[in-house]
Amino acid sequence: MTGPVSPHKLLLVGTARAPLPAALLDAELAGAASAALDAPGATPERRLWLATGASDLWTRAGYLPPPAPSTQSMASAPEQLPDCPLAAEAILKRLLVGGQPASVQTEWLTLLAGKGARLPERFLPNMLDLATRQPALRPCLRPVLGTRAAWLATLEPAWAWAAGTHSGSDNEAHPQQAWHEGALEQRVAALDNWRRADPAAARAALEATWSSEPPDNRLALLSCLGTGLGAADESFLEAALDDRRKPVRQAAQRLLARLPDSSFSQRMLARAVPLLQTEKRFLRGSRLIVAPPEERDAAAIRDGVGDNKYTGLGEKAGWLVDILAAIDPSHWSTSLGLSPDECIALSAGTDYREALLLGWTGALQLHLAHAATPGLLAWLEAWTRIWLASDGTVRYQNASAFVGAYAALPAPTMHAMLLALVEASRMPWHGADLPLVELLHQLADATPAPWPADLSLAIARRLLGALPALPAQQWSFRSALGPLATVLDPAAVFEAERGWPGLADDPHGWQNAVDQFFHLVRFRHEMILSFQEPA
Amino acid sequence: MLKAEQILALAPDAASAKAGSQLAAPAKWGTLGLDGNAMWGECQGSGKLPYRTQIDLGEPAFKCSCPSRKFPCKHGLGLYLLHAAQPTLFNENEAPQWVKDWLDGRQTRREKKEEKAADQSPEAVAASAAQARKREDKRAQNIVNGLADLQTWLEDLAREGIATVRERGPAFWEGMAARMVDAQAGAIGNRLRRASGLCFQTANPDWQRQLGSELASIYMLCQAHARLDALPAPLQADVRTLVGWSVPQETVFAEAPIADCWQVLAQITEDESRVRSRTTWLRGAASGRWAMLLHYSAGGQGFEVPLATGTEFDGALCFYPGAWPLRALIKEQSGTRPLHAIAPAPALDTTLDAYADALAVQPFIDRYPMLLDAVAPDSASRTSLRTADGRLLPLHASFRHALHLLALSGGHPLTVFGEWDGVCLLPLSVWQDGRLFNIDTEFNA
Repeated sequence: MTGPVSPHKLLLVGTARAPLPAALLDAELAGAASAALDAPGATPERRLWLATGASDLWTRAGYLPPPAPSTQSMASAPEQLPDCPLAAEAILKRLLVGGQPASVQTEWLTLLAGKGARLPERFLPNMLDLATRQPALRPCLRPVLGTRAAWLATLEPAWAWAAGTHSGSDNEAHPQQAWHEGALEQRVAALDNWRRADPAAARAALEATWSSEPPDNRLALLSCLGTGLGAADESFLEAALDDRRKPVRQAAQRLLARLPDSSFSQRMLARAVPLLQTEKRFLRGSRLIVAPPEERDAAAIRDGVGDNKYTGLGEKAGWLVDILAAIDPSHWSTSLGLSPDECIALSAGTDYREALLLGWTGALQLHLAHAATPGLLAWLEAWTRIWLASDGTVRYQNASAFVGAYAALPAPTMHAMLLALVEASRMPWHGADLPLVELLHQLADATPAPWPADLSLAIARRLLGALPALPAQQWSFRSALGPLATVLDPAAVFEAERGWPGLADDPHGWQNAVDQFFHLVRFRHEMILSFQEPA
Repeated sequence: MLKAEQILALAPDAASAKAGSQLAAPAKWGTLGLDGNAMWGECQGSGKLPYRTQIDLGEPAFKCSCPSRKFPCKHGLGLYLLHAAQPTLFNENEAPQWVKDWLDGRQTRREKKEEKAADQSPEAVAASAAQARKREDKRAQNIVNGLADLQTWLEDLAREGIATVRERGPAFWEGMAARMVDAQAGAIGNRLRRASGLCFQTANPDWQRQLGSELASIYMLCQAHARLDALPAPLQADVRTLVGWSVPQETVFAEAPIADCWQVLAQITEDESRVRSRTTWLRGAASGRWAMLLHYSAGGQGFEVPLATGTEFDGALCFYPGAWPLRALIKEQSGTRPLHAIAPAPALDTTLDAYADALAVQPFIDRYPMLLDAVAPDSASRTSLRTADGRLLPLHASFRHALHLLALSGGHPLTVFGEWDGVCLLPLSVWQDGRLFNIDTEFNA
């Protein structure tokens, strides 16, 4: 037997369309509600509303939760990494609210990884979302994802990249499994680890799947060969020069250029040698003679000569850049018998100065990332001297590769070079130190925090000292304050602040920018301290 | 003493929180000090004289000489945050005169408030009472007329059926809601406006049933109001409140205060046309009794009574009169401190029985506080909680933090507090390993 129709259904249709049945409610409830419901003169509409109200109350008061299906999903396994310190967790909450530069989040994650701890559970959805939108954040996030995060990531399709990739999981022990079954990103990480352990086996694995990899995978996976790169990789890379996609070919070219004995490097060198010559002139020193390539043959096209467009340069000058960029610049100081400073200085006397500088800087960036040899460092130092003394045009044209060359250095080497530069500059800085400030600004954006205390102190002293006297139009100084606040060692900044008289009456309106600078430095100070408390 | 996170939770808005944390720097402050009751400091602002900032640690309460209309202002937050970060900067000191003046003033005002009632002459009291009664009678008549119209309107709606009500658009609802405001039954007007929102939530498949239930409840309320005198006195108070009569604070404070250690278990803040409302859920540690505090703030100011979740205080509450008293005011509050433990929740069936009992005496309860031990969010559906004895409790469709809840639990049981409406649960906070997570503020959306 079925009970009466739910009053809710009757309410949907309306009494005008469907007359009310005599029994509106279950017998048990109808007895209790009859006094109001069946009162004389109760219209159908009134009866319907009262019945609905009574039936709702009846249902709510008598609610019994249904039994759960017996299929219990797996709960997450115990964590292996320790908790994040509470104070650091509070800092992360403030970071997630926003208002701080993104790099502070990265620094927070790095500090957490340094502590060997894991992300607090309550922020996992936010952090997984964030790194889903910004893949660049993932390498910093991975080491601090615990078992819980790996478990949680299996519940949300967009988080698949993080599923099962927490540190301490089986992935490091069995790279093959992640290599065969993982998403692209996990495969890249697995291949990278594998290259570290056994470069030959890892390359063989890539060769085996190469022909079936889609183009995007090829580019990402090929770049892993940069780890543990050696002569044995040459034949595979040489074959990749014939790939259908330009980015894949270029990745192969860059890797081959880093192998000086590779056939690719030898071909490039053979193309390069006739391009630059010196001429010794009686009593007038040397002159650099540049003969850009007249034509490019099929082999040169295959090696990527002419692949790139350089604004403001002619076609042949562009070929010159591409060839120079493949060759270790120390080659020129040796073969031309000139110091790096002389090479760069003499480039000014040619018609191809821009092309030469672009080519050499590109080459510096490429080769410094591979190995910071003394010859290359001498070139970088020479370039820096010229760069700091040049006008804005030269600095602007070469900024990305020049800053890239510094950023490619091992951090201690970069910091030592910067320290030497800063200590050689005047204290405090004034307007003429702008190029150095620009370099520091760009490196602050491009390299991880924190910079060492001695470098930070040297910078902070010169910077703070400079501010009271600087005119308001010094936008370069003003815009460098923010980035520097994200990298300088906070304790060193406070030390510099102690001897600093302040802005006095601040005629040029620096107060606001300085307040923001110190606010960020203090925030990072608090952040760094927050990791020193026990969890 | 509160922790930095709890202090920041007191900020009226994000800008104040940020400004406050910027001011939590030693260089900004002079003459820092504290004693058992208060802490204070002087902050150099843009003016000539430094601002004098002070905090009464008991409640806590803030006072600052700055002209900001936000409350607490950034200086108060900054001072408290500075103390949380670097307590050694604050020396135990005798309070300076300006601090003493304030604390004494607060004490005097508290005493005056209590004396005030006894102060007036009998004639004046009688005259103003007569006036008030006249106003009330007029309003009562307005409400009776308004509710009669509403009942007719609802009956027309039942005749037409609510399946087609969407087509009538928002104006249909707005007209009746405005009529309720004119009839001085604003509370019902607000409910109609909210109910009309259900019609236009295209993503809610259950909107027709929910709308029907809400309107039926309003109809029953009209019905109850029409025979108000026949109801038990406590329920009369509930019905009067629900149609829009406000209860003066004096009436509430005249009720017998209930002393306990009150634990602040959850808090939600909602913005409704220029006014922010804040609901705070308290539970008595000794009695297990629930209390709900409502506070309002307008124009971007903070709430006058700072209350941080995850804290507890010794105090006495006075409850609004009603058949199942829930809403309360704080009469006395002292010794605010972080929460370390909460009493276990009753068994689920006991809780559901208590809910039925509560509905039996006060059928209009819409937010029923429910604490559930050992429940695990269901990772497959994300729309329910699994109880220890293998049953499923549905979660409210508006609950947006299922993944956060799953992250916290990892599929393992935890303690959840929320509002139960007889059909589903809206989780408001989670207690796990000695920590309280207030979902509204501690899970970032």
